[in-house]
Amino acid sequence: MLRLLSRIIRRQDGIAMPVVIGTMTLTTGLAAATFAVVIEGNHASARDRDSKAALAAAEAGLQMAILKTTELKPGDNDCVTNSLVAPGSASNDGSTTAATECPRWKASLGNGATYTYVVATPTTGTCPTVPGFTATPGKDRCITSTGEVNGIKRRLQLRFYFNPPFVPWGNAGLVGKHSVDIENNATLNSPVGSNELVTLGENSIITNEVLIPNGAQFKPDNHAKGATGGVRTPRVAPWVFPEIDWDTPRQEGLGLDGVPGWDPETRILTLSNQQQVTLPGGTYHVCGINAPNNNFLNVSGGGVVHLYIDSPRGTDACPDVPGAGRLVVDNKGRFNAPEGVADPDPAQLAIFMYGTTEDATETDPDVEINNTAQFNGMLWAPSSTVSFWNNGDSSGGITAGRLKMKNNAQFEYSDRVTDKSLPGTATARNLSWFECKRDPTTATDPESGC
Amino acid sequence: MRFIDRLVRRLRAERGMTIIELLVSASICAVGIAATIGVMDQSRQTSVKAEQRDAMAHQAERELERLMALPWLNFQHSALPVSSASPAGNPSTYISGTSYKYDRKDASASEPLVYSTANGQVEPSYTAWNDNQSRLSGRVYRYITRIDANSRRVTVVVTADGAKAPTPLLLSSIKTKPIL
Repeated sequence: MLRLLSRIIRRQDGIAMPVVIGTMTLTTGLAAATFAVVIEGNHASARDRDSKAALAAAEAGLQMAILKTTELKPGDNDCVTNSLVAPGSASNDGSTTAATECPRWKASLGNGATYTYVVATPTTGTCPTVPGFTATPGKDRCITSTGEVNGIKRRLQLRFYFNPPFVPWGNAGLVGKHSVDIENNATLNSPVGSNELVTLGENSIITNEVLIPNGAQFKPDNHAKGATGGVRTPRVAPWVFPEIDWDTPRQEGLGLDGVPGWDPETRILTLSNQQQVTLPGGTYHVCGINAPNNNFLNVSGGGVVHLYIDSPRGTDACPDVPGAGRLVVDNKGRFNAPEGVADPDPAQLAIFMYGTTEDATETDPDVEINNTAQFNGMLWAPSSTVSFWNNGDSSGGITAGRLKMKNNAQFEYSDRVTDKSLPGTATARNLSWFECKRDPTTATDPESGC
Repeated sequence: MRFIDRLVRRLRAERGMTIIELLVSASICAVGIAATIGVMDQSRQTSVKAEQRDAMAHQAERELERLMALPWLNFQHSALPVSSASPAGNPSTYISGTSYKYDRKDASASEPLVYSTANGQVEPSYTAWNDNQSRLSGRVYRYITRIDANSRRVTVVVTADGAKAPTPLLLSSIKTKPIL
């Protein structure tokens, strides 16, 4: 046996072929292995690309969830999808929602990317592992967002605190920080509030409550008809007057280019006799409006005009020239009171006054609406004196530093402004997101696995 | 029968076998080596493409993070981007007037571009990128479009130079302006 093996080994015929085949097999194997590694590297590169796209999609989901939460202003028991819904409502991605959990909201980002977010109520979900600000139990909301591209998922979590914006006319249509001074034949169909003083002149009537904190005074004239709803302390006393955001309208607000009488240098609009202006919905930033005689300012379509009237005080946004920081509507002027419209919507016009002085003074009102002028809208002017003289007719909600209404003033509180909030008065806090496992560890608990 | 006998004898004989084996072996070797070289070249190309795609992904991610960090006011183009077919592969061909078709899988998905000459800080045209080693280079395009008054979509498209470069890499996200 050994001798046979020895003879075979010593013979050289037929040896080259097996050696070549063996070598080739080895080489082929090595090449295949190399190719497999390269292919895997290629796949890893593609996965890396998809992973980055999925992360961007998840970030988009967080952004949209925050936007919807601030837009919709949920109550403590509301979940947020693209609307306010109750826990246990159906998810739009086909998944099952547990009765105690908030539903998922899925949307496409385009190019095959999707995001799905869950905005928990303060009680249905928490983000205990997410670092950031000191938690406010019962207030923080946990937002979980999943981005998906070609089957690659990234899941992020964020703790978000949101304090809703201030609603100035939720309890009263007429509020004067220092005073509300009503004289002669006024009819006010609205609750009236002030932190210091409400006076009611001859033959005037408030067909609702006077809301003043302890220490403030209600002084009806001997010949006044009084306040039919009585006098009581407001639910939140004293009245508060938060600062609003002026930076955004200064930077982004529209001018009135193209409107005759508009001075782009001073940003003051001075209307000529009987001139009418119709504005489309939007945010406008001006330094003053003077509508001296029979002028109309209307809002087109169903839009909402936010008109910021800035002042030379405290900013270089407006020059210190006559008329800057003021709104004058005189002699049958009509703001948001188009002819032929029986019941114009006061929620379509919101005017914000910066004020020409630090605080409202007894003289030199920033806002004058005189002589049969009409105003239907919301007026926020806590640093200004606002004056309605001679048959001033208005509806909506008005907040002033000092509010004066003289000679046949009429005011109608509108329930269409009771839920309107002041821009720039909400607070929101959120810090960086935290990445979780790609899927929840408990299918019915969307916040799990973080 | 004679022929078969002669062939059998010939095959049994060892004379001349080494040179035939050598020739056959050399041929197999040549084919094998050629195939291996082909595989290696394919691997090299695939590897280069993967490296390019990695570099493009990093560029895209870096650009996206830079844009997302811009304040809302500045998160818009400084001028209206215009449609252009040059250089080759320019994704600006997806611009139609003042709109951009942001979804390559849905030609009808189009949104208006957002720009402000006063406040915009996003370049309307492409910028070049390279790996600082003169090996990889390409261009970065970005498009900001309006979803609604309070949300904007950002689409970053990164291309690489070279005839066999990977397809353009596209990354998109959304920036919103919370209502406060």
